[in-house]
Amino acid sequence: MSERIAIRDIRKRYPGGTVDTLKGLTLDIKAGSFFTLFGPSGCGKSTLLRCIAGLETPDSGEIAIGERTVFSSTSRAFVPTYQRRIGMVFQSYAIWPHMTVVENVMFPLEAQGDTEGARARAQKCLETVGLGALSDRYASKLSGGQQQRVALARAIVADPKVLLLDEPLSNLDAALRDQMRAELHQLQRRLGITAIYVTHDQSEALSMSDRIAVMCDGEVVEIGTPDDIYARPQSPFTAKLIGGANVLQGMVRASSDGGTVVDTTVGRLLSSTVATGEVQVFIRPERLRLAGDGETQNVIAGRVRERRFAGETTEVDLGPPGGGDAWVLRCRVPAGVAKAFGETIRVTVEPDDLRIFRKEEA
Amino acid sequence: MLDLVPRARAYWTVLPPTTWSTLGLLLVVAYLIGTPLVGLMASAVTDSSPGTTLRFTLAPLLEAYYDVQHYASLLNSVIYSIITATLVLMLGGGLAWAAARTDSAVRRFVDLFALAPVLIPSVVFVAAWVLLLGPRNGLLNLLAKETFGISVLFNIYSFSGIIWVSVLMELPLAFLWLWPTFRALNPDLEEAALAAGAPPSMVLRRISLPLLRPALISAWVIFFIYTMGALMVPLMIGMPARIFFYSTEIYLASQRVPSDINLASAYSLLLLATSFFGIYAYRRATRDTARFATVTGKAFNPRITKLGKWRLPVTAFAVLILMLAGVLPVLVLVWTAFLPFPQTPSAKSIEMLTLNNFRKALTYGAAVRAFVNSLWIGFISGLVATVLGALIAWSTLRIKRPRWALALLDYLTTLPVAMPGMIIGVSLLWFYLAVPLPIYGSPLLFVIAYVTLHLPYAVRICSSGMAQLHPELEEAAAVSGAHWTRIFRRILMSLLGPSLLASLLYVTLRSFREYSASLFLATPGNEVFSVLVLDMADTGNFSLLAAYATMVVAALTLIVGVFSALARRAGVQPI
Repeated sequence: MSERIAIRDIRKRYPGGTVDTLKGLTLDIKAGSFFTLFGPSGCGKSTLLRCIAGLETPDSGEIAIGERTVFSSTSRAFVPTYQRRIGMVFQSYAIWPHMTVVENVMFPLEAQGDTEGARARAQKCLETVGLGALSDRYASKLSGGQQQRVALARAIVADPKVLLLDEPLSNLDAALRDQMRAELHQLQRRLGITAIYVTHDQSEALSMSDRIAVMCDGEVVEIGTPDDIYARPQSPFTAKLIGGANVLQGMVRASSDGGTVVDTTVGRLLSSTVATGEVQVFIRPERLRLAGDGETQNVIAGRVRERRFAGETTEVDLGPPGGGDAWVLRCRVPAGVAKAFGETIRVTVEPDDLRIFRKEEA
Repeated sequence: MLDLVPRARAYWTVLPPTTWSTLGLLLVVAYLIGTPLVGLMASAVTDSSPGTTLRFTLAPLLEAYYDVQHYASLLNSVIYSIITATLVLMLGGGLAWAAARTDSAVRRFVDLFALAPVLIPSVVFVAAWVLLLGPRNGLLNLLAKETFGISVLFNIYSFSGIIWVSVLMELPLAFLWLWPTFRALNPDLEEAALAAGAPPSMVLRRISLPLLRPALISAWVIFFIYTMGALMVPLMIGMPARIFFYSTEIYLASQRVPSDINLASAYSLLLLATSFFGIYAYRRATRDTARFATVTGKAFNPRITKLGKWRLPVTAFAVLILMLAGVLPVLVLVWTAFLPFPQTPSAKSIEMLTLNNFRKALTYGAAVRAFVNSLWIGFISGLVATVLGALIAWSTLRIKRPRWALALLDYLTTLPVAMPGMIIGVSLLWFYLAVPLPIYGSPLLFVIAYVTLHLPYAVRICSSGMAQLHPELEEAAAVSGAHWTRIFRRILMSLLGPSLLASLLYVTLRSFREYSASLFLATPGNEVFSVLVLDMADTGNFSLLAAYATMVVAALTLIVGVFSALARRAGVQPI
């Protein structure tokens, strides 16, 4: 049912542009997986998706969907979009305003000459996304969330090999976004379809994906499972992009297989990452916890400068105990234990949660 | 409006100032639109000459509508307008599509298409085609005769000649009308269809064209109304060919001796009714606008289709059209201007080149004064129309009440689209002869006519610029404590500069080339450019006409060039 996707050394520069939007990208996407292209705006993630769809033509490289090469600059192959058997959901939903809901969903079946029982199949598909009752309405009479579902129904009605989603949830409000995220994920699992999902929202990327490709300036920075990307980022770019890590400047004093001792602005710390020279140290706010009285390893003392209530946790900004702006360390502590403004507290972090990157990498 | 200190106040001080400004605008617009309509109707049911005591009678109506000849002309006009509007829509639409949505070189010609109708006034354009395809002296006919021995290649004085010139004349306008619409179509809608598996031809048939249908229908209706009310081609080509149109009948009635404005008005009523019906039918057909692609002011990167092997033919076709609609007419004018009589280029003709025509043209009647008149009257009209247009656009977009006044204002300002210049001319002539105001025979009469005619376009240009300004920009100024007059001056006017300049230039140049109202309103001492050129054509002075037109086109090119350079230096992109 589903197909793998192989992308080889894709380059793309827009006419009139001075830099490559895509700088020789290579990716393998497993059949039936939920794969996310994640990165800040302008990193080329949407362009890559549009290249897979055939809406843009890369300058060089090769793209294969399943066994079929849909683009190759060496063999000059180009399969046009309408022959690629894909389903696509656009950021603007792109519901055709001159057709009713069911006509919108029937269109892919008609277009592919698969008209037998088209209306019934479209109707069934609409019921899958919970819109069975609205099939005769015009799109202009639908809410954003409803349009989103129509777009989804239209994308899957013709049993495509691949489902492409270009920031489909970014125009929805927060509550609806959470709900749609869950539904989308479920639907993809049930259909077993290969899905490629473009987003700049980290919670979407982390919660839905089997694998995430982090992109920056037309290149893939790293690929991994959500857990890898979050807990063990391989690059400072990823560490900064996801989770809002604290960044400390430091100098490595000693490093061995057992760990690395690094002097930072907040004091001497121990990390399990191996490194030398001038470095940057990344600590996630929620990995900092209040230190017990007997603890000495990686303990940082700081004065509470700011505290913000955030539901089950409280976010606390710490500064040097003697005052001043030499450093700021953000930590997230359970709501009940937060200390008062101006008080000095001791926090600690496990060596495993302390990621170190060489200065020049960052 | 919050009033924290309740006090007994006179009614007029309780109304917010924006209401007063709206009512003021409404009054001005109602006067501009109302006088021609009232004038036309009053004129059609009286038979006394204007200025004397009005005597009511049905005679003009009976004379007009009992006349069989009248219906033959009407039929001619309807057939002519349907064919012209359809051809213009297809050709102009096709070119606009090629420019907006394909990788052909046509998109580089957008500015040229914008410039052609601006620099070549229609009276000059028609005269140029008479010089090219006139049966006896037309340059192309002479060439055909000399090279191939064909006696007459194509006689412009025929129905097909009329269509040919009209289509070429309106093509650039259609192009400019449709080009932004084609660009404004959300490309996602088409890409979604491609992703759904529809080949490009199916996307065009099932998605793009249905979405553009209201825009295309409205364009057709506009071209139809425009052609029905056009006078230049029927006059300069139709009359010599003995083909009479409805607009010709109206003109002839007003020109006979003694002139019969009442009859002309009676004829005009039907023309006006046709126009209004066209607009009404269009509005009914496209009521549910949310279902269609409309120009929202949102900028898209339109989807560009690669034409492949069709790229060259499409580009070549556009070049051909540009030649026919711009280059060739100018060339023939310049060539004729330097010759004592029309002839094909040869060694002998080059020896005959002379400046005599220019000398004679400058001393021909009021030639110089007419040009100067047209220029400054056009500029004043542009100024007035732009100020009015900006105020109206701002009121209809931003002020919330009184709702009835704003709705009426919006409705009234669109009416002139359905009022051919000729009707404005006939009705204003009658009206200002009838009322004892010192307006008839003064340049003010032209200003009133031009402002009325071009107000919808001034409003349209201003509001498209204003629509892109988010209301929050104004609200932020209001929150900062600025009075609405200051908001208008400091925020809107500063940001709207480009649209206002575009509107000023557009109305000035449209007024300069206006002929159908002007024909009725010109009086000795108050000549305008188009009327003078038409007079030259009437008396058969085509060499002189060519010299005069050459000078005018050169002057217009200079003016537009200087204006664009100044605007660009000021950081404004004109038209």
